[in-house]
Amino acid sequence: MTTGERMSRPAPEREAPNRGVPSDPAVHEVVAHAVRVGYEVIGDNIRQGKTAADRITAGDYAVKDLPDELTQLSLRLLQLTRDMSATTFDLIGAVLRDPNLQNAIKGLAPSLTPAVSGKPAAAPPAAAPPTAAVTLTCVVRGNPKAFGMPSMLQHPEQAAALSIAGLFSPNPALPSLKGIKFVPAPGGQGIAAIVDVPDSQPAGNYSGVICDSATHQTLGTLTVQVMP
Amino acid sequence: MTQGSQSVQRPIEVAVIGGGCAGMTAALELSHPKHGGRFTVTVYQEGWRLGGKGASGRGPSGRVEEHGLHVWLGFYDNAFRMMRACYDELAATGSSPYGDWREAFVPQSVMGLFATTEQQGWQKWVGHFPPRSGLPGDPQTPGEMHSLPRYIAKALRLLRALLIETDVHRHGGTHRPADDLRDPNKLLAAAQTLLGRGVFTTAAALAEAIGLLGTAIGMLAAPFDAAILQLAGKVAAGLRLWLETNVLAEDRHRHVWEIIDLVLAILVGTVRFGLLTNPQGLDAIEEYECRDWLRLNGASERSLKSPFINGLYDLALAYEDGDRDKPRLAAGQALRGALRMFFGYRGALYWRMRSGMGDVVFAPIYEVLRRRGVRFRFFHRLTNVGLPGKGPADHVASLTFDVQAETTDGRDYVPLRDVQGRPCWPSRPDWAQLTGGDTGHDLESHWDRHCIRTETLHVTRDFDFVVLAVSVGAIPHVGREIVAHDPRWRRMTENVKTVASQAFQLWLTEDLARLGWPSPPDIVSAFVKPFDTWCDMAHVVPEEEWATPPATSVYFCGVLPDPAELPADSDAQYPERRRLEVRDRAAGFLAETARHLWPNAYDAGGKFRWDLLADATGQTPPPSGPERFATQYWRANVNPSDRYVLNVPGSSRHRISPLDNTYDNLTIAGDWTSCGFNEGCVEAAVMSGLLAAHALSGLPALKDIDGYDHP
Ligand SMILES: Cc1cc2nc3c(=O)[nH]c(=O)nc-3n(C[C@H](O)[C@H](O)[C@H](O)COP(=O)(O)OP(=O)(O)OC[C@H]3O[C@@H](n4cnc5c(N)ncnc54)[C@H](O)[C@@H]3O)c2cc1C
Repeated sequence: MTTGERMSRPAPEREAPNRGVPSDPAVHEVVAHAVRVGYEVIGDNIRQGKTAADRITAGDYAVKDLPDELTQLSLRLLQLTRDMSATTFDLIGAVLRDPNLQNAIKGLAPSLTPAVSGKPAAAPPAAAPPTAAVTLTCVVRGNPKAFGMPSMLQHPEQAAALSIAGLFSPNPALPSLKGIKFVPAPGGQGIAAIVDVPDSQPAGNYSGVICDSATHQTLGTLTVQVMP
Repeated sequence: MTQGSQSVQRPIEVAVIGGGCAGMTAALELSHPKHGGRFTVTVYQEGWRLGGKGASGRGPSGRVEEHGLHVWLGFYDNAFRMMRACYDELAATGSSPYGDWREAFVPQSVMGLFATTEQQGWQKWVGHFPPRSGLPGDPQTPGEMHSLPRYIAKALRLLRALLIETDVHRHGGTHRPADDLRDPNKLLAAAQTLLGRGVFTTAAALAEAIGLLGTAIGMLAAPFDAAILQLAGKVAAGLRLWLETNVLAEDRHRHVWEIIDLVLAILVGTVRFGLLTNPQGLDAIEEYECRDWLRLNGASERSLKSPFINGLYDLALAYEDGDRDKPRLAAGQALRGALRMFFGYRGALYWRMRSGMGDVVFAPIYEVLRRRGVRFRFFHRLTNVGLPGKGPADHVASLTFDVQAETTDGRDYVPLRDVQGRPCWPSRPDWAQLTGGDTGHDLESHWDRHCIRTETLHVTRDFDFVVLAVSVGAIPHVGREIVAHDPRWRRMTENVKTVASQAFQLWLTEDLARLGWPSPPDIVSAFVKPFDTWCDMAHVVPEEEWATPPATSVYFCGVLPDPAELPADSDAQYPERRRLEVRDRAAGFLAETARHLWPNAYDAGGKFRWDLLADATGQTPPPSGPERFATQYWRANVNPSDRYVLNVPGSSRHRISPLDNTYDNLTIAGDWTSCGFNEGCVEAAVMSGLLAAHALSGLPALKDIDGYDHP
């Protein structure tokens, strides 16, 4: 190589990853709102616990009662936190199902509903409907020793074709079950999976993940048990 | 000086130093035809082979001898994309010995944990992870971006699936006669029952509540009588104990419960720490130790000590100084890694290689690079990165090498040899090509400074840009000037920790089923230290060249504790001493510990059947008794650059990015850099190589480096 001018690297556009949530205001607002509500619920629980504890420190209770009282306090807090966590998870679930968030994440909605303009979403997440789920019945054909486990399927985000690679045993030496079909359940309630199980299928549990074939979103699981 | 490289007419000379995953990724990117020959790349590598921590070699009987057990996880999109492109490029030449990439990587869905428990003796847990649509390295599905809300949705679904599945196994209802359940109405009713809040849901909610109770009480403001606090703590501990002894200890699904407990802790922590909206993403909890953070969010002690968590630490070799009592994993990256591992895989959870990693990964890369005109300078050991003697220290002025060997005819060294029709790396240099023949030197040993001459490259005369892709353990030795001059580099070398590792491989004349291991051939972790992780590698044996092939081979791996005082550079015998230590420990492991895995490998008197070990060296008669272990393969990875890179809490902020422009003709690459996925793994190394290429050329675009902008 011949000696030339010393070269330098181009100036970097940035030097660190963008780890934050996508800068879309809709995402930010909806998530922030849900988290705020979540924290309020946590705060309420802690405040209630503190009130009870303050009463103990204030001497409302005889010392000999302490262990018992504390147990009561613990149990009450326990119940509260249990309820709280259910609420929190429902909240997160509601946030995730929020169409603004969905659209924003997918980058499909450049123009968004009023929630974008910085106001909270029209309905507070706490009031969001419960998880939309469909009953999945499993109809097994062939092997009389095999039967399917009913379960619930998450509603796909859009109308979707269900797909499942097959049902697999934890023991890969055992043959998997393939060719599973999905049909509307008899009586129009939910969906039925039809699984053909040969008589020769070894005993065991066979399970697989049901996906939306378009988005690959996981919607639920399907399990078939073959009795010995 | 030319600002930026756009205005330059002549090709830009790039010196890539170090031929591991990171250096090779950068070389592949910069030599790619998309640059139209803008860069001329030369790779400088000590010793005779590429691969670094992923190197392997062929020993006697063509057996594969690895640096350590390597698997590729199903979310390694950048790494798989690179390998798929390599295989395609070779296939397009019409003379590829490799075939399709899917022949080289074998999908695996089963991961096992095998550990002792306080009450139940040895317990095995086998996790079956169903195949998922797509393949690693496929283009990302639009909308399937990495976002915490999406992971949480997936975690909630997993939780539900686990709860339902557990109940399926527990419920007496499932054992009703089959025809009873053929009636759709009864099925529906059964579904409702299963979905009701059963014992497990309650147990999980209880455990979580107890964790929160502890935290809530801990947050109560003063003045608060210490005795009461103590009492409250006891109540919480008592309740947890009650739960664990009465509800959980008896349960055969305790592993499922432990995972539920951990997932709950993660969900609670995500909300509590505001991770969903934090601009730092998971880096916001990077200063916490992973177990501490989970504990803070209510995970039970039982789950924190579970084989599942131990297995994650073992797989990440996450023990500072190799000390089993110092498990250290930064919470943010640990969580990022776990989320990607369990919720981000495509095809299969993990992939094993059909042959040695050197043969499956680095031989094809070498072939592609050669065809593109990349030059290789083997036997070049970097000893100094020189800064300018005068003027601002803003660039690299020189690179000095020890030249360890030269070819007899002055031509390029030919590094690969043929085994079963495929190009492979030998375990030793091909001395026949080198002047002076076999010198007996270990050209990969940091403590063997053999050198026939030194060579210094100068900026503008011999190179323009440098990709420094040696590992962080080597930086204090090769980058002395920069470390002395630049406090950031000093802090990086002090805080980004590494750990030595040990590995051994066995070739057995009976397969594992016959030896009494009842489960599928999977990777097993959380076993007894130091060889806590092992994998059945029967599928590699057909790639080897045995006169009488053994039934299987098994690879073991774990950390290797450091001595109290690190050896001086002049201590030439140090690596051999550590190797002997590994040999003795591995032989002792077979004599005793392995009986828990393979009971039939022991004779009626309880002695290990040493004749199970297949002898590749073909000695007649083969050694008998414990001496036979000498016919197997073992190693101690103690060279500074070979040490596994850890991510201990608080160390991420000391990492430097390949994008850092302090030295305007230098970029760094390796799993030790700040590369978006700060963990010692192939994917991190590849990401850092892509970033290094971006730093020098603007390509690939940062948005095309999968997972770089992960929360
Ligand atoms: C025992 C073990 C098991 C592992 N298992 C897995 C696994 O299962 N899955 C996974 O993803 N990852 C695994 N890893 C981690 C993985 O191997 C590394 O993350 C990856 O190989 C790092 O690549 P790198 O390019 O950053 O560094 P390296 O591979 O260390 O490359 C550095 C290169 O620089 C060269 N070099 C060093 N000093 C000099 C010098 N002075 N002059 C010239 N050249 C020099 C080295 O020889 C080497 O070629 C494992 C690591 C170990 C140690």
